[in-house]
Amino acid sequence: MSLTFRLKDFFRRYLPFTRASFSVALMYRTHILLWIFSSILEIGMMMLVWVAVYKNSETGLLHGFALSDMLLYNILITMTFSLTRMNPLWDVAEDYYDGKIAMSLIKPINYKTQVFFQNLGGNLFSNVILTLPITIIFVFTNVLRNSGLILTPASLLLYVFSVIMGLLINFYANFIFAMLVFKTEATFGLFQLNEVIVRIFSGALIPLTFFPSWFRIFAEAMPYASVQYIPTLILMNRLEGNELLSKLALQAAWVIFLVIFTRWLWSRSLASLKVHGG
Amino acid sequence: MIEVSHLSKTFVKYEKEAGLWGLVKGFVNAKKILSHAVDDVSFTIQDGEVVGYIGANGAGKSTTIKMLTGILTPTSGHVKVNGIVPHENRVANAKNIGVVFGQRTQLWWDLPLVESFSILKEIYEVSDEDFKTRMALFNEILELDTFIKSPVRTLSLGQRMRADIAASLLHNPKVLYLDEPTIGLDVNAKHRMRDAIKTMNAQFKTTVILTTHDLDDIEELCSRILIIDQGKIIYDGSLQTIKDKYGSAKTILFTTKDKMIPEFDLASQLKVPHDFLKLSNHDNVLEVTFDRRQLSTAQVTQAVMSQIEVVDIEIQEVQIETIVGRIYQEGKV
Repeated sequence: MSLTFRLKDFFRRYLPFTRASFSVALMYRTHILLWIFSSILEIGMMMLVWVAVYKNSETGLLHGFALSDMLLYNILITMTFSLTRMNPLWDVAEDYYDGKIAMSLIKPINYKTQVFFQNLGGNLFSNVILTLPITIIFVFTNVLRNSGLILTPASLLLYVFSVIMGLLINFYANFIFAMLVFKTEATFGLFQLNEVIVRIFSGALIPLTFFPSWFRIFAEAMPYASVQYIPTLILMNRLEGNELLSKLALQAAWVIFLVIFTRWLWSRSLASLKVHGG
Repeated sequence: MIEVSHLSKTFVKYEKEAGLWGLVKGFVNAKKILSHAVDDVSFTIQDGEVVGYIGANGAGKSTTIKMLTGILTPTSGHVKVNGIVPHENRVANAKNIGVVFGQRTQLWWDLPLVESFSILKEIYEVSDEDFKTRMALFNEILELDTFIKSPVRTLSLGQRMRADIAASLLHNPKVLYLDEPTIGLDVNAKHRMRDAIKTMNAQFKTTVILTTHDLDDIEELCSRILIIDQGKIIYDGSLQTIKDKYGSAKTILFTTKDKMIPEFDLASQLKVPHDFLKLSNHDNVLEVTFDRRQLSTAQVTQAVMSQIEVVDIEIQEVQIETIVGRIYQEGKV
C-alpha cells in the first residue's frame, strides 16, 4: 500500500519531465524529419553493403548468418537501438556549460532521475515515429513471414525485459561520460569517444560474432553489448538455454554495478561541481 | 533561521599564458591559482527578516547564495538553513526554499508558461487547492494572466522575471533567495517585483535574502544589509546606520547673477571653525558643503544670501549610491 503510494508520487514528480521533453521534441519538426531520413538512409546503406558482401561469399553463410538473417539483424538492431535510446551526455553537458544545472539543483528532485525521465521523453518520441512504423510494416506485410523471424510470447517477453535492462545500462554508461564533462570540460571529445566505443562494442556496426574470438569475448562482456546486441539476439531466437540465462544475468549484473557506481561518482562530482556564470 | 559560520569557498583556477605558445605550455603544465570567493563569512538571519546582500561584481554574493541553496559545497565552515545542512541534504533543503537567479530562468523555455507552473506543482507536491489560491494571488500582484499561455521564450524580460518569481513562490517556501531579481527591468516592472516580495514577506513571514545592485531595492525592502567585499563581510547592520555615518554631509549650490563671486568669510560670519565648511566655486556657482549635524540649511543659506546676490539654490543630500560606492572602493565601513 505505502509502496504503491510512494511509486505514484515518484512518477507524478518525474513524469512531467518526460512529458515536457516529448512536447519539445514535437515542436522541432524539421529536426525530426531529417533525423528519420538519416536513420532510413543508414539502414538502407548497411543493407546494400551486406548484399554486396554476401554476393562475394561462396557459401552464402557468414558466421552462421545468411543474407536474410543479416538484413533482419540490421533492422532489428536499429529498432532496438531506438528502443534503448538514451543520451544524457548532451543534456548534462548543456546544463553544465550554461550553468542551467543550478536551476535543477535548487529543486527537490534527484538530478539523475530528472535527466533519465527527460531522456525517456526523447526515447518515446523516437519510438513513436520510428519503431512503431517499422513494427506495423513488419506485422501487416509479409516481410515478417518471409524473414524467418519466429516470434513467440516467451521471446517477446524476454525481449522486452532485456530491452528495459539495456535502456538502463545505456543511460548509466552514458551518464558516466556526462560526469566526466564536469572534470575535463571536454564535451566534444567525450562525445566522440563515447560514440566510437558504442559503435564498436554494441554490435550496431556488425554482429559481435564477426570479431576474432579474443576481442569478441571482451566485447560481449562490456556493458555496450548488453544494450542492443543481447536483446536483438534474444528476439532472433539465437540465444538458448544456459547461454540465454547467462546473458540476462550479465545484463542484470551491469545494471546493479552501474547504478551503484554512478551514485558514488555523482556524489563526488557534485561536491566539486563548479557552477558557471552569475 | 539561517546560520552561517566561518564559511569559505575556494576555487582552483588554472592560469594560462597568452598566445599559442602559452596555450601549449598551459596544456602541459598549467599554473594553479586559488581564488577565495567567500572567505570566513559568518552571520545569522532570523525568520521573516528581509536582508539585502550587497557587494561589487565578483565580491562573492552569488557564491554565498549557491552554498546556502546547496548547489555548491563549501570548502570549509558551516551552513544551516532551518536546521538542514543544504549541501548534505540538498533535496530536503530544496523543499523549503525558493530561488530566483535574475540571469537565468527555472521555467521551461519551449513550453507555454502555464505548463511550467503545472510541472512545478507536481515537483513540489502542491495541493490543487493551494495551487489555485496562490495562482490567484500571483495574478493579482504580478498580472500573469496576459501571457500565461505564451511559450516562455517569447516573453519579455519583465514578464519572464514576474513569472520566475511566481514560480519560486508557488510552494510557499520559508526562505526566498533572490539573486539580482530586478536586473535589467524597467521602473514599473521593478515596482511589481518589489510589491510581490513585500506581500509575500508580510503575508507568510517569508525570509528573504536579496542580492542586488539597485539600491532602491534595498531602501524599499530591506531592514538589514550585509556588505561583502573580496569574499569578506565588511558590514552587517541597518541601512540607517550607514546613512548616518556617511550621509551627514550636505551640499548647497548657489547660482549667482554675476560671473564673479566676491570672496567672503562664511565661517566667521556663522561663528564656526573654518573646517566646518568647504567652499568652492566654478564660474557663477558657489558650492558649500557642511555637516548637517553642526549647521542647518537655513543658517547657511541665510549667511550666503546676505553676502551675494543669489538667483537659484539647489540642495544635495548624499546619495546611498555614493556611500556604497565609497565603501566598495575603500573595502571597509
